[in-house]
Amino acid sequence: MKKSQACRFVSFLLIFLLLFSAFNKIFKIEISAGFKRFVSFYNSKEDSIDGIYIGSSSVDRYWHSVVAWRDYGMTVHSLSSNSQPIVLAKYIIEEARKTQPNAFFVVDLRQARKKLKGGTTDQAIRQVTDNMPFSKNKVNAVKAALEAGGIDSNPIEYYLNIIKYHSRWETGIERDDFYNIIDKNKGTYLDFNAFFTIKNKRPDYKDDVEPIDPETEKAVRDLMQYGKKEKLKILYVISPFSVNEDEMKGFNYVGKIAKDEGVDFINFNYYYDEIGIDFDKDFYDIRHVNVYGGEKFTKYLAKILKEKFNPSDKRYDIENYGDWNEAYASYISTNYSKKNKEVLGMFDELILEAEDD
Amino acid sequence: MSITSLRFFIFVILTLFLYYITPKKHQWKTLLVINYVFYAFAGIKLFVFMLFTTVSAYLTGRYMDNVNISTNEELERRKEELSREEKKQIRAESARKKKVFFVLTLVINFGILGVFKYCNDFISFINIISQKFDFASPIPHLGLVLPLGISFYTFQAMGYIIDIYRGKYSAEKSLFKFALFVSFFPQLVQGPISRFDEVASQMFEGHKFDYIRIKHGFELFIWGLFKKLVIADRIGIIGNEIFSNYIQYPGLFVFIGAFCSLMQLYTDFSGGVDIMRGVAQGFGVILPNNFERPFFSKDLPEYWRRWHITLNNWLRDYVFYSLTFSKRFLNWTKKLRKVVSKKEAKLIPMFVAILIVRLINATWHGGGSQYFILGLYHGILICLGMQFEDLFRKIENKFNINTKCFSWDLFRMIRTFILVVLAKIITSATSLRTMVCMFKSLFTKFNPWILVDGSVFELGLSVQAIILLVFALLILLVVGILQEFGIHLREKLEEQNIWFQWTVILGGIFLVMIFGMYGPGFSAGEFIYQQF
Amino acid sequence: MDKKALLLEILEEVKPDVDFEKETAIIDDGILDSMDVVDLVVSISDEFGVDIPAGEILEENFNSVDAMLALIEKLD
Repeated sequence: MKKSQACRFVSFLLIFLLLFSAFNKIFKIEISAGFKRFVSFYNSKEDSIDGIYIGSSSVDRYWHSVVAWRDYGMTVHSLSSNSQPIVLAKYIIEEARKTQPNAFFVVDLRQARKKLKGGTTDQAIRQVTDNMPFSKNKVNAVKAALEAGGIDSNPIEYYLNIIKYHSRWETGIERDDFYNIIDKNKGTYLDFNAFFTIKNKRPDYKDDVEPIDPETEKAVRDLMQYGKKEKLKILYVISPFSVNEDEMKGFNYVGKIAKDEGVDFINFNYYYDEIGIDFDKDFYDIRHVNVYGGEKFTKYLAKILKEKFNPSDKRYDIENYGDWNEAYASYISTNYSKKNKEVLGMFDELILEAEDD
Repeated sequence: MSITSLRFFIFVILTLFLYYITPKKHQWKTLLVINYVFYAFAGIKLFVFMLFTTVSAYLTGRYMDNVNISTNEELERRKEELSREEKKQIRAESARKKKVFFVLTLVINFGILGVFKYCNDFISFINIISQKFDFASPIPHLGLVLPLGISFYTFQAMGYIIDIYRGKYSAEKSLFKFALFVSFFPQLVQGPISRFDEVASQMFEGHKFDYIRIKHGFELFIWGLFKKLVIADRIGIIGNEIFSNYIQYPGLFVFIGAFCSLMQLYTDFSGGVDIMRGVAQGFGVILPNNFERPFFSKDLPEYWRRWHITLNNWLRDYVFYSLTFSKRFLNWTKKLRKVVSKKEAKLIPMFVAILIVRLINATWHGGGSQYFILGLYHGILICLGMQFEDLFRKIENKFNINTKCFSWDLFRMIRTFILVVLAKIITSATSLRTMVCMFKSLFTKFNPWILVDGSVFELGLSVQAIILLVFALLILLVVGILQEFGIHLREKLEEQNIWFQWTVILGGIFLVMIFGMYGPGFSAGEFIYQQF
Repeated sequence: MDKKALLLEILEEVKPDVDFEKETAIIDDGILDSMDVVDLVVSISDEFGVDIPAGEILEENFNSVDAMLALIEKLD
């Protein structure tokens, strides 16, 4: 082959790869809140995040990161997504450590009661992995999730989104798909439904224990051992909600595992009064607090985190953390506009379905 | 291994690499191995049949070739001393010697093909009869899987031995080289059916790595993918919808369904052929084209010269000519001369030959009664056209129709196209009775408003998909028109500036990648001709 | 009548309005299609009394008038 032809071919290949990765970024899973949250994290400066809060929707409805910022100057970002499979927690931690090597972690274990096989969906996996830049960690994450979930998909579809999602040209590509949409709220969930209130029952449970699914237990133990091996600062939690008896038994079992593995664990369902949870006012469905409950929970947990991990107070470091101030300002204005009675009035008629974790 | 899959593409890249790092002298051996590896992916258990065909055709070919050589030597040696009668005798003796193995090989190989292809149809036929006369319980169908490419490689190998019998060229001496000819993998899935003298030298010679040749092969490959993945699988949805639910789709819907079905068949088949021709070109082998823009045909005979060309040429050379030049047919012409005019005497045997060829062509595609009717349909129309040629000429003269202008050609193209679309109803209908219903519905229900009242958007495709199809079909039309004017597109593209070339090629790649019907969530339409 | 003239007459009957003497790619260019070829061969067989076997129906034998005459000669 002549030299000029070789040059042309290589240039062609480069242009092709460029276009391909661009299209690959556009044709991916539909943008969701979890998705935007991850994008926001990837946009954070290196070594600027004090802590990462990992888990399912039981995290971002509960943790109002900018409130913790306001009160303690700590930067704790959620990396949560709906129905996040617990097996992925380890890989999220790995991913976070790449840019935030000194961060501590809070891991919500509500999903520990879910069976991994059959309970892990393609959507749930992608909300985490579609955002990850291609790396060994991504390969491992996809492999682990597919294996644990017993899903028979080709892992290639997870690296080359376009293979699965190219048909979105027909089903709906939006402006947002062309850009990386950042969650302005540093991971907090502030959609309309978080402003609703329903009355929940205050749970009445015992200390009984019931084992969780053995595959899930394996994944939990694996995570805990990984944390110990890497000498990571991790706090395992269960966020408070209107838990039923069976669920509590499972969570108590998880507590036992934690004790067994020698890791820190708090089941907040034992602390309703300390947190100040009001079951008539603080929830928008059975499993999730609304913005009022969220603020209360944040204040409580932030205090614990401050005592335990002692992140520095960066409230006056406008140069490096101005974006957190902006996020707080945006939070206030969102809260105000959404708490506005007239706006809420429009939605009083809506009957909201209880969400999954 | 689906030829529209990533696996296949990687297979091609790897094997091309292997081929070109082999020294030129031995490249054909590498190619032979590659062919068998491809076959192994497809189904190694049925490999024995291709092996049988290869060996039987090779041996018969060598034997007949020897007979030919010694006959020719003798004729040459004794040229002066032999009379015409004696020469004829020697030739007849030679034919006799060859005939036994020749006929045996033909019968066995076509027999194997026939059993695989038609045993279930035959069983159905028996079942219908036994049901009518109530003498036996229905026989279950055999679940026979066809060896990959059996229709194609059988015809190809049998064409070879017929050529040897006729003394057209000499037999291939090397069994392995012959095996390469029979098993050349780009031909296995959907043809084309090649002639030994056309492709052998290309396959056996070594080729130097030629960047332009590989590039052109790749362009053809992408074009084929475009036709198959963007057009065929998509437009087939409408065709399927209408033919599966024909009761809800009366009148003009039938025509729309047939049109979509026909376009699906065309883009599926020609797309697959283009993909494989592109691959073959990468290996330095130019395979004959199977399609030459058939919808630009002005009459049905021309249509059959442009559609599935290699099968048609095969039937022409080995069936049609064999029949029409046989003693029987020639004598028949002589006998008929006594009863009808000279012209008719020539035409009638030809009509029989034409009908036979059309029937073979049609039933090659399927053994049911509907395919038989398809053969009759085309055969009868062609014969009628020939029979009344003079009458048509008279009518054209009477009405002063200008037959040498574009508008007349356009009229003929449209007329032919309509006939071909109607023919599609015959084979796409789910049963004989359905077929009759659909024809009746087409010609008795008058509903042209469906074209504008939005009904087309409720046939299984979204508005966006239909717009895409229109756009894609327009591209197909433009390319077809350019090719009709004799423009060789890939060569023309090569002459353009690199930016333009890159835009076209990258455009093609991403058109396929984004708009192709593939991936999870699509059941990629298996190539229609793969079952042959 | 000499052979060439007879052949030209046959060709005229098979496909009128074509100057066959000028053509050198009668088959390759599709001037005669397969039906025309049958017509031609049957007529040649008739008029010249030669048997043209199917194996001789090759492009090179029918692409020009001279080629056809050579074939007739060969088979005589």
